[in-house]
Amino acid sequence: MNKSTIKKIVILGGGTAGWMTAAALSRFVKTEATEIILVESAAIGTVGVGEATIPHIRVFNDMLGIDEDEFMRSTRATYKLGIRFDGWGSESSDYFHPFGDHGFPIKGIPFHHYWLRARKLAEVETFDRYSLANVMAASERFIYPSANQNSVESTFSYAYHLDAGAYARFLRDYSEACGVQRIEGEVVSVTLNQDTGFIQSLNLGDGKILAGDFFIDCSGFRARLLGQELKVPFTSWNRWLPCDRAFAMPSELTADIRPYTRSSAKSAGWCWQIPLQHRMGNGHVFCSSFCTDQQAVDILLTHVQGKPLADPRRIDFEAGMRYHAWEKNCVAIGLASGFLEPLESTSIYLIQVGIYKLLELLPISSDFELDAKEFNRMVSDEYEKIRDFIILHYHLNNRAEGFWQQTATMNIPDSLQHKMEVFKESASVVEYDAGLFMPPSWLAVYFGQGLFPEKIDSRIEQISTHELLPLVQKIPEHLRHLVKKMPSHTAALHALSSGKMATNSVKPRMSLYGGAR
Amino acid sequence: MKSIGIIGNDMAAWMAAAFFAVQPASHRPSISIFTGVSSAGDSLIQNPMPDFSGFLSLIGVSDQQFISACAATPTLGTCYHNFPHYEPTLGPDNCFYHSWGEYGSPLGAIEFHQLNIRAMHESMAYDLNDLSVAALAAQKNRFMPPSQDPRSIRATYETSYSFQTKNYIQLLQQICRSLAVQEDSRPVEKLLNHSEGYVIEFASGEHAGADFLVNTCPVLRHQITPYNSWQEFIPFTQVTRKNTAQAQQRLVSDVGFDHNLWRITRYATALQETTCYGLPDESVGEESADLFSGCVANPRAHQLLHLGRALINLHSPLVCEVDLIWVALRILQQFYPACPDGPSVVSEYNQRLIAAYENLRDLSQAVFIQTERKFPGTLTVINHCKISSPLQHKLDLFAHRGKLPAYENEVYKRQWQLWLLLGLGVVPSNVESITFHLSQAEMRNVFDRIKAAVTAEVETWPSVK
Repeated sequence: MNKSTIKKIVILGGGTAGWMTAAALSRFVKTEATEIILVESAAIGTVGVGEATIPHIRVFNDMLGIDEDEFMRSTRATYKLGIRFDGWGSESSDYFHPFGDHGFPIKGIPFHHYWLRARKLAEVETFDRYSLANVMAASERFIYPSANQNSVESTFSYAYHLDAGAYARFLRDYSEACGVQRIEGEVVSVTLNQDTGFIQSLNLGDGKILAGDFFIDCSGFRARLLGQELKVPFTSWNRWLPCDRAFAMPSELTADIRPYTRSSAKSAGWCWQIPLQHRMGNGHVFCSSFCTDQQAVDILLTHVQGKPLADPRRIDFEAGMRYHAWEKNCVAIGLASGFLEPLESTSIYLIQVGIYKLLELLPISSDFELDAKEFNRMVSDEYEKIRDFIILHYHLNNRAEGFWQQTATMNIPDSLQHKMEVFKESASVVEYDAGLFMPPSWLAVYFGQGLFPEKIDSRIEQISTHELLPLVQKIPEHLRHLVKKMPSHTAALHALSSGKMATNSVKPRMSLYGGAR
Repeated sequence: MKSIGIIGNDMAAWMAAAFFAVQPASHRPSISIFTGVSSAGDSLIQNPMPDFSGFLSLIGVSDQQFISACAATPTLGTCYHNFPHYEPTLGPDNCFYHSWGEYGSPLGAIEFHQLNIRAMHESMAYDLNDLSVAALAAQKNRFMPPSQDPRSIRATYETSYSFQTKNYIQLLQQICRSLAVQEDSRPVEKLLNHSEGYVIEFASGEHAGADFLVNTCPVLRHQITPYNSWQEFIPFTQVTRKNTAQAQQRLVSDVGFDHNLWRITRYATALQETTCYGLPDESVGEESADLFSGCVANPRAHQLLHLGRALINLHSPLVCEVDLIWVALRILQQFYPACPDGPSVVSEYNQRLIAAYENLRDLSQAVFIQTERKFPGTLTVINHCKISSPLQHKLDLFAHRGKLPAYENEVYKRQWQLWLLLGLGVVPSNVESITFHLSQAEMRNVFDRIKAAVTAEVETWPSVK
């Protein structure tokens, strides 16, 4: 028999990753016998820009018992139905990646095969018009998904745009109320056990020594514990993801609040727009080999629509991940474990993944080896699958600029090459049992950026035109008709702030899409 | 694609023919089945996993139609006789009934199996069979179909069928004939790989081809693709197979072990079949590799798929032949053949199928490994077998803290896996701390309540008769 051997957990870093971890541990691990301490320094800033999320954050909040309305008010959040990509693939391309399905399978065959065949035979609408989430987003409407899985209104999900700093403060209040002890201080040195190499204590600037049994490194890009002390190497992916710098800047809102993130491709990178209730978060991610800082700022300022609320702030980064996220008695969560640019809003999701796996595998004996092995296996798998999906956005393009020419012609990971080849040969999307992005996401990007397969499912080739075309052609109009009756996103947010928004009764799920998945 | 040809006259061949014949199409390709081959000899009785209902649904056969056409009887899982020297006459005591369902019920964030591990550590012995409605019902020979209401205790398990292979083949034949599948009984001599594709050569010297061919005949496969024997993982071969009139009506198949032998008894209406697996008498040569579990290296090639006994032979207490066929067809449903097939699609299909089969092989090996660990001397031969690294990690992690790693392409549900391992006597060294949120008295109360609810529920069920 055993009870927890971990009596004291020390979290280093108080950004989104640190406070999400503290909140989850305080909810599920904290006991009278287990102490949780978070150490952070006001002198060290957080990345803390406006953050776009994916629907999984709702599961996290629900797990903590957080009231959705209170959360939205505290973080000045807006609803999000997907991402609009303009200029990706070609300068004129413009498509949505929705939190939802496109069409529905017919006789066991995915809908996109029917759409591809119809497209060969006649004029049909673009693929994103077949997703309710997209049609809602494009019309700037919002309702909660339906609980009735037979309803088309159950075929989408939603997430939020939020103020990451406010979210961290919200979770800090939550964690401290649950007994997490916060210590203000900067780590000046770390003591390792000379025999085992395990971390024994963090030594703070004011002379305080913070001993612990288990340490969680949420120190961001610095990876103060995992990288600097435990010397776990960083595996760079910059040969596939060459953007290495961003400028971020908030601005005033100028129009109605859109229920989607906007990602606009630029000459050597891309710009984001993340609408919050009180401001617009803007940023420009770029590759410094193809664009100077001044050029990058100019591009950002041209892209920003409202009055700037601060000067552009530079953030440097490198895509990649630590060789191990768990080493000895230390786990890195968030940017300390790895970084993928926020193109698909996966930063908070990757924090969540780390937390879930840690909760599953938190050591229960003095032997951590198997726990660490499983944790590292699962976390690497998640990162690599998301990495491939992000590379796809860069690789699939026919733009003329040098940066885009380079990403279009670069050698991509074998795993991604294989997925693309399978799609070209058969229109089938390679699926996996564990991992974030499922066929609707892959299809959105494949079609949105101009990759159309050479062949489709041979069964569809044998369906007659008069059966196929009416089936495919009527769907977009039906979706538009449904969406017309929905309130605008801005009206939904007003209802929320005035306490008139009906509460969402549908339990969130670990899915990017709707209830059918 | 204009034509599909299927070589064989066994269950795999007819399943494949039905699979292709029901696909949606206004102008279906012509489907021919070439039955002039010697059959590999299917097991007389099938008792597949619950997923089999997916195939029935695909071919448009309702439960009622299937029960009536195949005299199918319901099944709830497998009974492992938890003692060495198994004799079928020994009765149901001291057995673990492994159902396709849940044991106990989670308490918020506390997984029930973790609570059970803690109970084992604290010597609070509860018989697992008393904690699952399906397991207890199987033991008591009582049956009720599962409920659709997720709040019902009857929603905690899945069921399947046991049936005679010959009845099932007849049903498939009826379906195929009604859908105009062409039958060709000319004796098949060879399968040739010509530059323009695969071609069937008949004994008469005539030839036939198709845009896509399915071969279910092991003899024809020999000439084309190598077979990877899994002898080093699972060293058993089939020793005997005995069919008798049904001595008892069972809702499970029975599995027992004895001195490097294991046997499985399956039951269908009026019939029972016991297959015994053991070590071959003497060292067997390469030409006998087919006797052992194993799988062809490339199940699918351009324009050709091996299926059934031509594809895989797995001596396993967990699955039967029909399961293995359905796994292959289900993946084919996603990566449907085209004319011509692309190399990446073929490679993806093969990779997924082999991974799914290897997962089943590994889990089957885990049953043998655990049996030997629990009753040393029962299956000593398994101590000298190779273990794949995914299985080693799975066994290590489970023994460490009762958790299973999530792998891709697993067809045997993780929930079934963990109760299988616990039921076979794995006692993980550690238990999750969260279980200590309950006092021992509270934990006992939870177990008592579940046991009482399970017993009360099963009491109301009618006997299977």
